Amino acid sequence: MRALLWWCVVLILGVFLKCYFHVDPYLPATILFFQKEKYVSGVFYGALWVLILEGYTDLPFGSVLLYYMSLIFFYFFLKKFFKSESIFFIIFLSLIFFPIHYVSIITIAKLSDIYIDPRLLFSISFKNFIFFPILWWIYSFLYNKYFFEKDIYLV
Amino acid sequence: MKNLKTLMMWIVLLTLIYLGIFTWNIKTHMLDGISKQWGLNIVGIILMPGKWIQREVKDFWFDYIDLRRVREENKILEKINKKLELENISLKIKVREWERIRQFLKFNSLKKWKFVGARLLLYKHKDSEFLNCILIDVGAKQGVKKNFPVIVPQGLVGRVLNTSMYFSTVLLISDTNSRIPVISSVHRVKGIAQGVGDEDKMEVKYVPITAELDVGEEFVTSGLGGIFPKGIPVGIVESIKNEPTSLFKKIVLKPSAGLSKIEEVLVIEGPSIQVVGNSQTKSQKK
Repeated sequence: MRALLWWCVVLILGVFLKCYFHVDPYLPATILFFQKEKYVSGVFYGALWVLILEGYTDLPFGSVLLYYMSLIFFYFFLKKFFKSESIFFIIFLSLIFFPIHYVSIITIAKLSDIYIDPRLLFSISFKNFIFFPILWWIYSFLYNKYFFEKDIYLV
Repeated sequence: MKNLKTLMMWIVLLTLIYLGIFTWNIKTHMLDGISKQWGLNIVGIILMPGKWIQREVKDFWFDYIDLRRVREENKILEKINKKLELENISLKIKVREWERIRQFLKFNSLKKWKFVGARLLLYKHKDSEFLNCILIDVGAKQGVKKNFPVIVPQGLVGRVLNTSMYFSTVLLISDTNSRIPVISSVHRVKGIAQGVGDEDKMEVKYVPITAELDVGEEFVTSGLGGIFPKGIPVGIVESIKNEPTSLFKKIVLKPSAGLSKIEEVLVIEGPSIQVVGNSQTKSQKK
């Protein structure tokens, strides 16, 4: 029940973050689920958030799903080489997220014959790259503090 | 080697799953519909209370300020009112005359249009979102459908891009993906008005360099294309350039609707293609 309440708060704050700060608020949370090895919850909430973000975005369905799937794939791929709890792992993941976000959105826009200003898209992808580790850290900190005692995942 | 094989297998599998979902959706638009219902409704429901509080506080504050200025304003308004009463009498005579002519020509009337009023919930700004859009608080429940034109009394705002049960997104005329068939109000020059991503600027394309056109002339919707009814103000010509290498003029418009200041809009319901013949424009009225 507490966890559900927590993710509802994340959902509401996420909508505000998306609408007013224009960053993807849910991807760091999805990654956090995988780090906690809560795969079913991760897939459930991840799918829910993909639906919300796909609905909010002005592009046809596919772009958000593409970069979510790609990043989850890279999460498992990088996990083979690095410790997933490390902050460097998250920074590395956000570095990968940057081109993935750019490429997936430009691909869907091109396929749908929609023009997107490449500079604007670049700045949005860059913003996401910057905010990804910060949001992950906030989620992780709050989640660990209020839901899993002494389970710090920063180093 | 085994790891590489597994990795490749995963890449191929995920790509196939994604392409399967993507192509199936292109064919059926099923996921588009579901995600728009989910996304727009959830975002709208979450944003609405905040917007309501913001509006109430703003109204309360302005009501208070207005109250303080009310006496001075009353005197001014009384003077204006007398002037308007006189104007009203002469306009009534003109309207009766115009009604007779309209009946004679069997033109459709503005009264036949169905309007749905809507409040703006969110401005998806050009600096932060892929498309210049607004989120409004009416949706399929109120009869709003994709491609319905959206206006304000000053002019055209855009068209409905996506709808959910209670909310819709509107593609603004200032977006680079927006193209509207237009006609100039005085010289009747046809062209395509296209956004440039700036809410105070638009361009009219495909106007031949030989065409006559003046700065300050208004462009209105031409009714071609079947989305926008004829005669809605789109923008006023700000500058005209004849480039030596081009066959067409470079015309810059200022949108009539004042896109950055809109708070409420009207969605035009119904098949707009039927509304033809209503071509009276501001300049013609003058």
